[in-house]
Amino acid sequence: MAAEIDEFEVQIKLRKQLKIDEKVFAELRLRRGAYGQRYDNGHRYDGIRTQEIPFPRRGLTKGPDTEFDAPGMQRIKIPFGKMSAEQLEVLADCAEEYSNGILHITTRQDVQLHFVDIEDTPDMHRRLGAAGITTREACGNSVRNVTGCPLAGICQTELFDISPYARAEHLFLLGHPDVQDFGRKFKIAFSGCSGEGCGRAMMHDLGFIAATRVVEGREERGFRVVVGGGLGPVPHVAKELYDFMPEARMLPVSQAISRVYARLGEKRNRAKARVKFLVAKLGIDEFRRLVDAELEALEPDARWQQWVDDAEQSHCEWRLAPATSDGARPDPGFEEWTETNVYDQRQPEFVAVTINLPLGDLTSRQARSLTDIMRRYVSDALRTTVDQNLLLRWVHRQDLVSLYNDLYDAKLTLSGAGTITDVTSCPGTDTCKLGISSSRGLSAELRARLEARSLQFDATLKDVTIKVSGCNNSCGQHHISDIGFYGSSRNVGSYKVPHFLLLLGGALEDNAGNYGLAIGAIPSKRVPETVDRLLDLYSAEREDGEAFRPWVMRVGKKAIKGKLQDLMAVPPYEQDDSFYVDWHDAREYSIGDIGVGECAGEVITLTEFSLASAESKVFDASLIVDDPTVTRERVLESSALAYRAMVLAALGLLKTKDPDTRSDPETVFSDFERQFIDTQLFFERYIGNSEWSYFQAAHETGGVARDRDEARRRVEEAQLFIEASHACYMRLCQAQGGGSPVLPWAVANPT
Amino acid sequence: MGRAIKGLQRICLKLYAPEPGIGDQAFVPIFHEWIRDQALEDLVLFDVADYAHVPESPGIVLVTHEASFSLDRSDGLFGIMAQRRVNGSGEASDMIATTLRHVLQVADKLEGDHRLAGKLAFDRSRVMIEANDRLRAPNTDEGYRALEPLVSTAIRNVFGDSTLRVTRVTNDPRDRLAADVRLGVAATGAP
Ligand code: SF4
Repeated sequence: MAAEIDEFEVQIKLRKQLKIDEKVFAELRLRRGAYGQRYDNGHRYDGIRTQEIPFPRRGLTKGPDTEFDAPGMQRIKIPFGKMSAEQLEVLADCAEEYSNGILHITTRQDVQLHFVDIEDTPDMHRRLGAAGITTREACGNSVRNVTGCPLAGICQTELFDISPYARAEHLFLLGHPDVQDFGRKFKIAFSGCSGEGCGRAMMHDLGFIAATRVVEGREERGFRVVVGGGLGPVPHVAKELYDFMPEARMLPVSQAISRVYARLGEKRNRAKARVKFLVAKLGIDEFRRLVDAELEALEPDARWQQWVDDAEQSHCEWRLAPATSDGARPDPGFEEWTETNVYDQRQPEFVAVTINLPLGDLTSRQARSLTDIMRRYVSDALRTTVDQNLLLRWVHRQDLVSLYNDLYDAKLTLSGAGTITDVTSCPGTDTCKLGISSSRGLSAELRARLEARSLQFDATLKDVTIKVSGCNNSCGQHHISDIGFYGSSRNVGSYKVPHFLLLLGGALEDNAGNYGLAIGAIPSKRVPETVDRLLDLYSAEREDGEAFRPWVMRVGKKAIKGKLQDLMAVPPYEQDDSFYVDWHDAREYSIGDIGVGECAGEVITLTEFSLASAESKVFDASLIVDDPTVTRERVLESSALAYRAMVLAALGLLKTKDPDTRSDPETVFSDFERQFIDTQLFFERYIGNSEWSYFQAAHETGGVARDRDEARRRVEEAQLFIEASHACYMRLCQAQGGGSPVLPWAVANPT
Repeated sequence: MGRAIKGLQRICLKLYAPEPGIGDQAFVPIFHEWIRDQALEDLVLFDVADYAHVPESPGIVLVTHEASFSLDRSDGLFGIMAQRRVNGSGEASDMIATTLRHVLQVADKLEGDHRLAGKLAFDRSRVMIEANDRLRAPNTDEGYRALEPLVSTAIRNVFGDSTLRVTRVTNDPRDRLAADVRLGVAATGAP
């Protein structure tokens, strides 16, 4: 590892001397987890206009359109979230010295530091490496952090502890030659059971779900293997590759899958390069045949068995004796905290304690206090969680009050872990280059308001989950919560207004295997009111013990949407300009220098009208695919409806050129290709390419789908095409007003 | 100068003020405006970060290329904390002096802002300085012996020949080497 970091340091020097191409350097740093961050293209919108940031070495880059002097984000892998006190101490030091004293926990159990200077990274990597932490392949087209249930080994419902297997997978694939030639990232997750959501295997490229079987009277461990899941703009639920695979085959199977993906996965079109697209294209049976063939051809590797042998040895994680002799008097809030933040381990004398971190953040000082607490009570038993929290495991019941008091002193006893107030959020516009709306600003607001109301919530209301992403890349995992939001924007008159698309009915259960579908776009400033309305409706209409998702399914999204309709409206700017500024920001939201009224002629009205009907068509289509009781024929019809929505969106854009343009699908498609694709008008950096391919694919088949999966996908794709059409329309308006691009689009950095 | 502190450039420096009694969000529009106008001398301003949801955190941060300025409460007291982000050209004492000038500029400007009028009053007789670089400035007796004269020189460079008392901040050895400076106070005497 030391030699690799030295080499990276040299590469930084060479880039400064322009002896390494910027694209090559970008991939080199990404493979070391050093990402770009918002505004690193050297431009920033100040609410009035886009200004150049006068960095001292302006023009020296660390990647295409990425200023060398601009700070970046460092992602640090924490395999299956397991972290020792010593490692946390080093992370705290690094956050203080190279970042801003804040450690951010991601939804994939990584730690991220922001505002890091690229020239500091080699020193930081050395310090982390000395504590056994790697940043290698934390980003880039490689195997990302291997995640696993934070409760592994102590959980009430698990079949066995997946931690040693996750560790083996991480170590085996890290830097492995067979994972170096992927077209995109590859995410792996382990789950100890099939029913719960902690492992989230079904939303991963590759998921291992613990399974056992009895062979000749002896219990054999293994995994149900699923492949091709993923969230992002077009979410896929993973497909079953093997219903049972013995543990000894875990590593060779992973290797074989990697080889198939490296060989056949898309390389040129990033938007189609994840393994989910390959699985969908080939079909799971053909994919399995290819993996089996690779397995046959693999050279045996002694490590396959070594790791498994190691996994079977027990790893003692707990302190043998309690730290305290009797219970101290608890500081205030103990009862409430115990209710939501304490989990009874399978081992009756122990509990696990969740440290609820607001928006996944803690300070270096808190982290250092936590290391003292760990050493006193639980040794090294800490995990990061996929809900952006921390979990202290193996706490002796006897120590609970005293532990609480120590956490209280460190300001780490926020209650409500895993409840409605524990809102998950990706970084969004705070630091992410792709953020459209302020997911963290909104989440902070929601947390504060829900905490203020929390005393009114009964147990079922407390169980409602909320997740927020700043764009449709889904790093906040909005698809798998009861109430999900992702950032988007809309034109109102000649202004842009931050919005969030509302999704309802996703679920964590079954390894996050049920995704919510879009209801409609809500202005950012009305999201808290929307959440309140939804909770009130749910409270009033639920049947005995009915959870949120079944309520959504029973009442129906159409009816719920009808009751939210008034919240989707935006008051005119002159009436209330607060709608035109995002949460926790002060700048007018991306309206740039568009002249008021310049964009508001008849043609615009026609475009907006067309886009609105496209949205309503796609909403109708989503109602059909989401209804498990409708016939196959009806489901297939939804695909045709989705296609018609795309045609309408394209027609809307064509109307900006000619209000009398013909509206039959064939003419719309060819005119759109000529006027928006050939001219590149539809494309803006990373927007447009995949959306255009969705329209093409739908047009080729006339909107016909083969099965429910394809129909569902088409509906998602139609939604994205409409979003891209909105974005294109905004750019046209902006161009009419003579403005320059407002959103600083750049290389994706989804977690 | 002790070997322990050679090459120190990363400095944190805090100026205290009584709690202003206004929400941290009040600083957000002010910092955005400063960025728009590039309103601070010798600094390239470009971002505002918001950690107000974390207790005893940097709160709201104005990020510049050279340093970050946060509404810090990490030691339980409110103040403006400057954190030097990149290396400069001078010696450590120059860096401390430069950072002090920057933080005084920020303090003056905040106090002068009409939106905060009468709510903020920084105590310019007290400065806390941290060596934000454990590799070059370890939190040891030797480290402090090397840091102390650098701090005194830097403060005199900025404030002139005033009397001052520099004491080592007693903290967790894992924390950073830090000095507390009181101005207008004899080196060994009481204020
Ligand atoms: S790319 Fe990911 S982190 Fe960035 S705004 Fe989108 S969902 Fe959030």
